[in-house]
Amino acid sequence: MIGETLDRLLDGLNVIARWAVWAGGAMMLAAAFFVTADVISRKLLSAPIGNSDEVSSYFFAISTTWAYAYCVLHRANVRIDALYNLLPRPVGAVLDVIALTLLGAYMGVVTNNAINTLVESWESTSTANTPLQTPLALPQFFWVVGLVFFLGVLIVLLVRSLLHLFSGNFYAIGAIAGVRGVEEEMEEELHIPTGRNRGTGG
Amino acid sequence: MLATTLVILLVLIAASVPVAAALGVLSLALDEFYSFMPLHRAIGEVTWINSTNVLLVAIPMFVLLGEIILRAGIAQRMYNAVAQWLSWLPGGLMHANIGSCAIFAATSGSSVATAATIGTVALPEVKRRGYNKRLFLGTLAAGGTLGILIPPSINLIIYGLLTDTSVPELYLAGFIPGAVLAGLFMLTTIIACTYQPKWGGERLVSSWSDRFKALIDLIPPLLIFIVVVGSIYGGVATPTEAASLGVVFALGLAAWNRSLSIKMLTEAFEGAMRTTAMIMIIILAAVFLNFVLAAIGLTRELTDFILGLGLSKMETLILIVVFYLILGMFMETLSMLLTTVPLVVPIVVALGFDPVWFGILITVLLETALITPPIGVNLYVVHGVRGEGTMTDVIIGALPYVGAMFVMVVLLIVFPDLALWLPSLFY
Repeated sequence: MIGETLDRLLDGLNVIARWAVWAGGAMMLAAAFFVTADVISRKLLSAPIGNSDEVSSYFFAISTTWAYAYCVLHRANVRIDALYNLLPRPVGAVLDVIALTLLGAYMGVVTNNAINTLVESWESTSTANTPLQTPLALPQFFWVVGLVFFLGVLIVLLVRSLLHLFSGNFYAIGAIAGVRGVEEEMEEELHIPTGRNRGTGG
Repeated sequence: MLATTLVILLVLIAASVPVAAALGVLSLALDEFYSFMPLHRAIGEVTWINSTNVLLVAIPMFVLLGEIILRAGIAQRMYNAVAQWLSWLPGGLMHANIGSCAIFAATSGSSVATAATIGTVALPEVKRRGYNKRLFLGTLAAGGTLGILIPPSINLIIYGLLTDTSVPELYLAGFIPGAVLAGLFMLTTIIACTYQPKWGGERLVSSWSDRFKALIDLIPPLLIFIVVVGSIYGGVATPTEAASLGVVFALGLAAWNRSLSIKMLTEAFEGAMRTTAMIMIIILAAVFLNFVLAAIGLTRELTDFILGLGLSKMETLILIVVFYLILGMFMETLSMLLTTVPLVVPIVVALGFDPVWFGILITVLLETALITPPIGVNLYVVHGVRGEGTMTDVIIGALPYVGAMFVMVVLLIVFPDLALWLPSLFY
């Protein structure tokens, strides 16, 4: 019952995470055009546009945290699987849960302190030491939104995995939190079916 | 302190904890055990400052550039053109594999992207022309590694960030070693196919007029190279700006080839942002670990320990090379770069080696790590693209090229000017 609700929640989070990645990619593309215009104007015009480096660095910070959730939902986090691959699935499933727990703990500390950084910027109305004098709280707010969303996704994944663990569904944990096989990675990377992972399940 | 750190790190990594979490948890543990001040309170500020580092903006840009090139139909035509020019050599199309990888590497900052792209266009030829499949796969896995040595290179940006070394200088230093290594790969292929002519498969017959006609297909990658690398050394743009120019230019080429669409763009965004997030989460953890290691004095302790062993300069260097070769068998390269550079480079610099030169040496060692089993990402990539047969084929096929990389390491140590001569003309 709770499990099914969580699965539906994860489906919803997947959709949001995909939109967040599209938005992040569009931000970087916009930054690329802005930087290009800036570089060309610097060479050709007496009054360059300027400030593209600062704006693109904010877009970069924001789009990165917005992509974290997509990354973990696609199990794209780098994990060293030399030993993992040799272990039976139940042990692997326990390692998957530990991996989520430690990632969640670390990101919890990061997010907590990132919120503090945001609050300090807001209260002291800090501005960037640049010609734009950007109020730092503005880009930091969107940056923190990505971190909070990521942390939320990690918590849902962890609860779902724990439920699977208690009911002994070790392969189901692999499917949402395991180390990715090479085949699935290739398919995603190149959008070509490699034909080797059909029927292997999870 | 040193032993505790290594044990925590090894246990977490071996337990397949995500590398970012392993580094993050290690920093928090070291902070708890050894620091007088609560360093974790700085993690928000440190993360924000590095998240907005202009140098690192080059990473998503180069990844996005690669994703666009992959989908713009540039690679297939380039491969056919290189094949016209190189496949008369003993080993035929295998030289086209290496040559195409080298050219693609000059537009791409990633080895995986290089091996995957060239592998996809080249692999249908193995059966059609009767090549020795193992050696053919080996040329793709090894050729792909050139992606991180020949500029632009994402790994050299990260090295530059961690060691405070100039990225344009590192890029210049990578050119000659990259060309020499591609040459060594081709020489290895010629030797193998002279010794066993039947490995070489059927040669491609082409005339001089075909060859010159094919040159037009080399123009798109050449233009991207000129835009990206030329703008850096023409003094027009920083590496980050150059990467942005490359993205806009490649998008124009994709539009010219009529491969630009909303679907193509969203796919490129997904691929680029996933890779960026994957890399950045580790980089940010590594940067904080770096901060903690320096604050608790561990970097100095390790340097003092190694220098106190009383080994000569060359003995220490050989020890470091062997350390990387062994580690490279088991560890993914980016994680290896991020976890070891903050500790190893201070030692190397204290011994009096040039950090730019060492950046190139470490890159060649990372390339070796990409094709040494059991964990060699490029072996997996080529095997995955192939979609049949066994992994052992790729591993055995890549072995001769591991030999070529050893030769390159020795050459770099004996003739440091291979890396340092070109930068010395500019800096």
